[in-house]
Parts: sequence; structure tokens; C-alpha cells
Amino acid sequence: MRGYFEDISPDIEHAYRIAGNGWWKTFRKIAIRWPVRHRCSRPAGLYLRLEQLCFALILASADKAAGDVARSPSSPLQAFKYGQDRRGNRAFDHPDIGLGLYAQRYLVEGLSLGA
Amino acid sequence: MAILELKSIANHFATIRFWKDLSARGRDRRDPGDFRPSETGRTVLLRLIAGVEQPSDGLLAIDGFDMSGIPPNERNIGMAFQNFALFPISRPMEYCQFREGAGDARLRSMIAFTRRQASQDRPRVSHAPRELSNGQKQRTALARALAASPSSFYR
Repeated sequence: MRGYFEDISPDIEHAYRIAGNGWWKTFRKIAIRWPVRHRCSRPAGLYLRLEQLCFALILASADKAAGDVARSPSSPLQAFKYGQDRRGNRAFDHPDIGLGLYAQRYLVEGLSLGA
Repeated sequence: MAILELKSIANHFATIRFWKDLSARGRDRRDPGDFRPSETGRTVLLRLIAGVEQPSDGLLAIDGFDMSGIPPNERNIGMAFQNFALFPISRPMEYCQFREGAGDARLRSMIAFTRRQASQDRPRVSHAPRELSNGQKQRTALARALAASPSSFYR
């Protein structure tokens, strides 16, 4: 997962932010290209994976190294290369995984862009 | 016209304090980076102005308003990056629609500009950035920055 995020140039996200978008929209539109149709889907899964977000917050506050917060057996995240699929990566169809990735990207120390 | 003021601005990346008491008016068409040679923090200065990095000391004001703590998306500025910072999946047309609610007339004119400049003999506005030439990438980045009608523009 770290390799996926390292493929993303921070300038791309900064350019999107300068254009008037917040962190969350930048993450959704640039980092993971979250499909719109899944924005509010699967609330049960979203609830269940909130624990991952809390875990990431704990990691961030404890100043510890980041782990694979959004690891999922059904999501071969390690194989992803940034920017190779125009329609968005299928692993990001799940909003719960998106939340975990957001925590990894911006909240957990070591992967943060300085936000 | 935007007025940019930098007073004793410093950044923790620099070993010495730089960019002291610099001010520039928008109509001067003078890049603040012109005051220094390369490798002396010009890119860092642009990033400080854009808000993607925070100064460790000093005052940065645009139009008289202190910009400390103001996120990049609320500064109403445009910036073209050295490496163009084009999203590898989006098409040039999408770049011109970055900011929601951007001025329609200007947006249309910039899209027309992009279409005119980026297509010599066939439309390239639907092409991925990797299919564009370096000049077309640069024009697309400029169009993106200008499409949002910023009060000031930096490159």
C-alpha cells in the first residue's frame, strides 16, 4: 500500500487542493478515484470498518509506524499501480476500504503529506 | 490585481533566512523568483505562497490578508507546477473543470484555448496526459490554473 501512495506525486494532490478542493475530495478524486456510485453504498461494511479508522487514529496519536490499515483479503492492493485504470480501481469500490486508506494517507504518521 | 507581501519569510528547509521583505504587485508581471538564482528556494517560495507548505517564520499576505493557517483551497490563487502535475488518468478537458462554480465565460474561453492549442490537426482534449507532448502538457497545466479565475497566478 505504501508503494501505491508513493507512486502518487504530491504535486498532483497539491494542484487539486490549490484548485479549491479539500483533503477529502482530493483523496476521493485523485488518490483513489472513488466511483460516485459507491459513495453512500454498503453502510454496514462502512460501520464495520470504522474500527480500522479508529485503529489508524490510535497509531497516529501514538507516534508509531503505520501498518496496513485497509488490508482486505478480497483486495489485492499490493498489485495496484497508480494511474493505470481510468475507471478506478475495483479495490476501492468499498467505502470502508476508502476510509482506511484515507487514514493511512493523511492521518498516520509516516505517510502524511504534512496536512 | 493581487498584492503579494512577504516579510522576513523563512522556511525550515532553508539553513538561512531568505526572501526578506519582498513585495510584488500583480500587474508588475514580475515573478518573485526572479530575484534569486536557481537552487535558492524559488520553488519553496511558490509552495509557501500556495499554502502547501507553511513558513516557519515571517508574514505572508495576499491583498493585505495574512495567509498563515489558510489552506490552499481558500487562497484563490493559481499555480502551474514545474512537472505540470497532471493526473495520469484525467483528460485535459477535465482539468478545466477542476473548481466547481468557476466563471463560466472564462472557463469556456480556457477550454476553447486548450482545445485550440492542444489540438493541431486532431482533437487531443480527450487524450491522456501521457499522450500529449511536453508543450501540450504545459498548456494544459496553465489552462487548469487559469480556469479557476484566481486572483493571482504563479509559475
